[in-house]
This record gives sequence, structure tokens and C-alpha cells, in this order.
Amino acid sequence: MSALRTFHRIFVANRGEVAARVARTCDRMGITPVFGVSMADRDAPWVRGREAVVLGPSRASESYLDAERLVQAAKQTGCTAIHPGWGFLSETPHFAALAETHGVTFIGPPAHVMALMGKKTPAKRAMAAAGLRTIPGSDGVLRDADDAVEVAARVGYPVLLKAESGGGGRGMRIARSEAEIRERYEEAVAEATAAFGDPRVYLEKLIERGRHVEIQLLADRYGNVVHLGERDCTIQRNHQKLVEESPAIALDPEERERTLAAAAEACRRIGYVGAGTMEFLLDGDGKLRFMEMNTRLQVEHCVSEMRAGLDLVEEQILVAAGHALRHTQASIELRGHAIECRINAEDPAQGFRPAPGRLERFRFPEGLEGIRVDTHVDEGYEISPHYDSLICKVIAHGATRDEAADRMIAALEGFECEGIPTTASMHLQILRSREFRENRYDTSFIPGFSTDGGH
Amino acid sequence: MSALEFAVRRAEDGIVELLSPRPGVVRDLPKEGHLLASGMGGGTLVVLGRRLELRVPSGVSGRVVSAVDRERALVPVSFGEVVLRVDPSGVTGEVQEGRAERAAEEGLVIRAPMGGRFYMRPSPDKPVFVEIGSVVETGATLGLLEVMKTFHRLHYRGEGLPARAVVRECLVGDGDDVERGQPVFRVEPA
Repeated sequence: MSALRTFHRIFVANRGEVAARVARTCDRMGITPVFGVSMADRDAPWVRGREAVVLGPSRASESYLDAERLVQAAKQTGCTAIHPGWGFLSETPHFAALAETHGVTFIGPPAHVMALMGKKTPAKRAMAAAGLRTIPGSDGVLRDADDAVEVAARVGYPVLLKAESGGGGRGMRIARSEAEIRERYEEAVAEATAAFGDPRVYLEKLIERGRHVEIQLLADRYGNVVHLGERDCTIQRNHQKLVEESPAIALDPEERERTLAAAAEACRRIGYVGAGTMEFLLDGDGKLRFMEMNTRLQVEHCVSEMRAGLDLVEEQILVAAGHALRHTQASIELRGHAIECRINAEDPAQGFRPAPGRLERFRFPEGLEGIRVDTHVDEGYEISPHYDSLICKVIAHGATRDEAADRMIAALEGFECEGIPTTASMHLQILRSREFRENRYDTSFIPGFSTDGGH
Repeated sequence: MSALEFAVRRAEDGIVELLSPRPGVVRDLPKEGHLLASGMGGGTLVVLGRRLELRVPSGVSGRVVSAVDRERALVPVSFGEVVLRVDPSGVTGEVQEGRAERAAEEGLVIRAPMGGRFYMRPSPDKPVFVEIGSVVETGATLGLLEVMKTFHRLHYRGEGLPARAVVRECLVGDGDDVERGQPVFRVEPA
């Protein structure tokens, strides 16, 4: 196939693992990546021998979170597109709009679609209208505590009070009775105001012991949408995902097919463009209920890449450049089983306290079958206290779930890392546990770490 | 035009480096030899089409010895990139006071505190420090005196001077040699 024309130069408005990930695809496509970096990252491994613009000091608010600095840096280096990565400004409509206003293509959805999905209740309403099942709750934001009590009586306790502009688990309050709603309503409003500058809260029925399932979507500018199957991200600690896998074996095949098709249709209805992910909760009745949409590439996108055999960053770049999708749903074949473990610089012995420091040794065994390691670090890298603690992701692919898990265990057993503690040992404990192998777990505990055994 | 301050780094050789405070395109930089003092503009930073004046922060003064990429009119810079290098030894004698004297026939005059060459403007392509007819307040710069290759500011400040005054006349020409005690400006209380 002849090479499709895209961009000569792409500005990478992010750091760390995703910056390295985007650069890898740019290199393969013959595109020059230009990096925006903070002072702390100006000698980082992913910018070595590359073009970079120093944005500002280490503090993210004056570097990776300053939209104006990023767009100006892109313009002055002759870049015609910006890849926002994940985190930072990747889901900020203002940033997407600012880039487009100044003639720089934003590699992601249009700003108005991002804005729609960024507010919880309009997103939920749009998804319900497009045929997705949602979590029972208030129709829009709550007026006051009385309104909350009324809705709770209708949907049944326990319920969750959530921030309209929230995310990351903040601004949420569980209430198991009317008294608890009256006690916690003002708290939820105060926390939502403090954390997100928006006092509005809404209410949803709390689904306990569910599973977290999400769907990877890809759309072009012409209304073509495909899905790359689902991922199970149930294993989390403090709302941070630890292990992701695909397919989600807890999911009933019929429910899977129905929801995948409905998600693609919903994506088309809202005019979405690029890679995006819809997150669902799998309830006790085996039904998937829409929670929210992440309007960007996700950390765990590699799991779907391994099964579909395509490069999501390349697809993002192609649709941003105006090309139609090269794939139809029928031409995408999802093969085998893939598992990803996120390795963080955290000390499992000290309550997972972040552990910045110098990587004295960092090595994975060579030539392991079905193993992919995505990272931005190398030996001698200084892990900065300014940013998140992810140092690498290990993705294992196999014909079956057990084969993928065994390959992951072999890779993590051979992983040599000195200088800082990592979460690799925790992953081994999860992967070896009977709960994980027999698929007996949910969001209420981490397999291998439960009190009721399994060993 | 809004303004932005340079960041400052003092190099080992005594040179003061003025750094860009954010990514942008610099233009209209002062030429080599131009005298800079705190509060003065030292070029323009264009950020997404908006022009921001780059101001010299407090505590910095000196003569421009070099600037980023002289070959181009528009130079893209990063945060922390050196825009101007300034030699502070180019300016000594911190503050010189103009001596005021009340003489019946002259009115109020400002005299040169020492002999040297008098300049009305910070550099040939810049406007004068004070226009005739304008009002000056205590501390205002009236002109420069070049003495033994160093520049000294002639301030409106001294015994017997009112806090505000109208500049009525400049008694010497721009670039003229003046002697110590020679009247330079005639002013009247405002």
C-alpha cells in the first residue's frame, strides 16, 4: 500500500511513556516528532537526539498544563499537528480549540464533542439516547439534598453522590440511607467545588462488586466507527488501574456483541473522531452500564493493539489528517488474549508510597515470546518527584488467558530493577493467585490480596 | 502592549543573562552597546500573535554585549533560553544626583554632577528620557553621562528641588561634552 500523506512534523504535548510511544510511531511513519518538555525533562531519554522546546519550569502548571505555551511551541517549530497523549491537557476542550484556532491540527476529537463528554450528566443522557444502558440515578444534576433523597428512594440504596465535573474518584460520597445523604450532600458539594470548581453533583445507584469493562473505539471524520473489542480493568487500587486484559472473560457473549455495536453507534451519533474509550460497569446481572467516555488514547491501549495487530497512534494520526478509516469491523480480527501490567516506582512494603530516585539497573530478559515492553526510562534514569510513578508497561499476548498470564510471569520474574522499589512483585502475586486464574474477583478487592484466601 | 519580565541568570564571568520567560518568538531586540536598566523594555516576545514587552527586572542594569541570533529578525526561543547578555560593569556610579541651584536670572537648573558626554536618550533609536514641557518627579532619569567609557544616569533628585517640576529647557545638545557643574536642564516647579 502506498504511504498516506499526513504531517511532516508533530508536536508531542506530553512527557514520559506516552511521549516515547508517540515518537515510536512517528519514526515509523517518517514524521518528525518535536517535544515540549519541562526543565526537569530537558535531558530525558525520549528527547535525546531529538528536537525539543523547553516550555517552562518543572511544575506542570507552567509547562505541560499551559495550553498557550504548548500551542506557541508547536507553531514556532513548524509543527502542523499536536498529539496530546494522555493526562495533562488531553481532555481539555480549550486546548483542542486553541490549537485548531492557530492552525494546528489537534489529534483527537473536536473540542465540542470533548466538552459534551467531559460533563457527566450530558454525556450520560447522550449515551442513553444512543441506546446504551446507563446506571440508574438522577436525571441530570441534583437541586438539593431533598431531591437526592427522592431519587435515592426511587433507585434504591446504596447510592453514590458524584461531581458533575469530576473524575479520578474525587468528589464522590457513598450513602446507604436517607440520613447519610443528608449528612454527606453538603460534603460532596464542597469537595466538588474545591476539586473541580463546579458545585453541581448528581446521584447514581452504587453498584457494588461489579467489574470494570471498557470498549476501545476508533472513528474517522466521515461517520465510520469501528471497535477493537473490550478490556477488563477491574483490578485497581485507589481508582488507579493496575492490570488490564482483553477479552473480558466475565462478560456474556451476547451482552458483549450487543454493547460493542451500541457503543460504536453512540460514538457515531455524537460525531466523535479519533481513538476513544467508553467505560462501563458490569453489574451483578451481567449487564454493562455506561459510566463515562475517555476522549483520548488510554494507557492500556496496547492490550487492544496486541489483539487487533494494529497501531492505534498511527490510526489516530491518519484520521486526524483527514483519511477515512482503513478498516471495517469485518476486517478487524481480534486474536488470543492480552494482559498488561503497569509497573510503578512505588514501594509495596510502604503502602505503595511513590519512590522517586535513580534507576541503577533496568532490564528485561531478551527474546521472550509474546512480550512487549513500553517504557521511556533506561538505566541511569532519574525518576522525578514532579510527575506520576509509571516506569513501564509490560504486555503479554498468548493464545489463551493462561498462556498470556504465564508469559507475563516469566517476564516479570526475569525483570531486573535496582535503585528503586517497584510494583512488579505485587503483579506476580496477583497473576499467581487462584482468584485471578479462576476469575473470581471484582472491584471490591485485588486478587491475591483478599483476606478470605484463595491460596 | 502587556509586559513580561525576563528571567535572570548571573554567569560566572560577571555577565548577566536575560532569559525568555516562556516559549515565543523574540523581535526588536536592543543593539550591542545599548544601555539597559530595570524597568526598561529589552525587546518583544510574540506569543500566539500577541506582542509582549520583555522588561528588565529590578536589580539589573548594564550594557548589552550580545543577543540571541543576530542574523534573523524573528527568533524562536524556549523557556530559559538566553535572549540578551548584559555587562553590568558597563554602568557604574549607581545614582548621580543632579545639583539644583536657584539663581535669580536662570530659575531652577539641574547641573551636571561631573564632566562627560551628555545623552538625552538611552540609545540613538530610542525616544528621549524627558520631553520639553513634561512633568518629572523625584527619581526620574533625565539623561545619561558617559564618563570614562561608563554610563551614569542623571536623576531628578536633590536638595531644594520640588517633588514635581516641569522641564522648560535643555541647555546642552544631545551628545555634547559637558563640564562638571554646567547647567543641563532648566525646570520650574509644577
